[in-house]
Amino acid sequence: MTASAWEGSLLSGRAFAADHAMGWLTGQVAASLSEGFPGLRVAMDMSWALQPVTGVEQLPQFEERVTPVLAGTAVSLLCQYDRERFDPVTLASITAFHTRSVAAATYYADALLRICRQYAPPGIRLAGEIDYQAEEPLALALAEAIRLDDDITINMAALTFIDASCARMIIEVVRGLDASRTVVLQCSPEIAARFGLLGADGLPRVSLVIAHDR
Amino acid sequence: MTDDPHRRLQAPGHQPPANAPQAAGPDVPGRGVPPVLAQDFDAGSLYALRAAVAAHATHAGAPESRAPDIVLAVHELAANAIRHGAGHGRLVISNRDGVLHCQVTDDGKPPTTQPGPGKETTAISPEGVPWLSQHGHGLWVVRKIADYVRVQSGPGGTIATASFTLPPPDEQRPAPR
Repeated sequence: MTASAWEGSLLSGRAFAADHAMGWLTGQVAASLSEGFPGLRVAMDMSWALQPVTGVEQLPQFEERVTPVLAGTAVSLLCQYDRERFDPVTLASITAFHTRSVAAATYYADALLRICRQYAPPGIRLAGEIDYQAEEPLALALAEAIRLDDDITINMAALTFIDASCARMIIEVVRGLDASRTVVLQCSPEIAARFGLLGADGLPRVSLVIAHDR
Repeated sequence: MTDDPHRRLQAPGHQPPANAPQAAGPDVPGRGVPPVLAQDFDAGSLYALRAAVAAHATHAGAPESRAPDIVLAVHELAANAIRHGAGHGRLVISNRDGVLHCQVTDDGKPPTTQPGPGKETTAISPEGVPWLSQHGHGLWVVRKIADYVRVQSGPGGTIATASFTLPPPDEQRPAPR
């Protein structure tokens, strides 16, 4: 396995050019094949595209050109876009060029509410409005977080409404965790007030973190 | 039109406490003032109900910091009507004498489960029928965030009202024209 910085690999210095990026990628593929490897897996953290990199507008062009080059080869390319940081328009514009998309495990998604796993920090993420009608997927998401993660973050920064049923369910889950685990409830001031009303700020090992900007 | 559920639900001879705001509704037309909002709801339209309450409560003079409380209170009362009552109901919000009355009526069966030992109940007012607050202590929350809450249950259904005192008009933001 090789780990490379953006600069000097995908990027030429602090600039992005579709031609350069394609050249780098095909070079990597050729090198691994000549070394006798049967295939190549490349995982790219695309967060560089959030920085003021010259030529970033060529990114969709690169994504478009990559797909036919990789077709039929034993090469897979995973472009990782952070849903929290990339705007929906950018995500939508590059989605079309990817043959497959892997999203965080989603327990529920409709026009009003999305419940999914969050990998960093580990836990779950709630966005939109949640009420008792989504208790079932919420319970499933919480149960998996308890099973898979030690310390849990419940990211509710993009949650605009929570009813008593769901707030109480979250508090009950937190209350039932053993003493070695901590929980972060990340939420807007309005949502934090709900958890405060139900006594969450008095629970040991629980921190209420106010997120102002989402 | 069917008969008026409010009239049917009103307990005969019921007198509200002297210091309590009167319940809103067709029985008390609020001196001819039209309601701020009147909307039917069921499980599929709770979101729309919340959105309407948020918009109309602010427009009626509720501070923006108070609007989320009003939305939550109405949601919890409506959710009770859906889950423990008729499965649907009607919200009427009226503004009388600087108090916003949010009244949720449903014509379903009143809750008949009596609280068991150790179960938390929400006795809303001395004259009200205790309503076992299941699935999230919704009424407990409403009592915490509203200035006054009254729940009347009878054979014809339940009327639940959460009231919020509005700031004096000179402290309100001017209404958009």
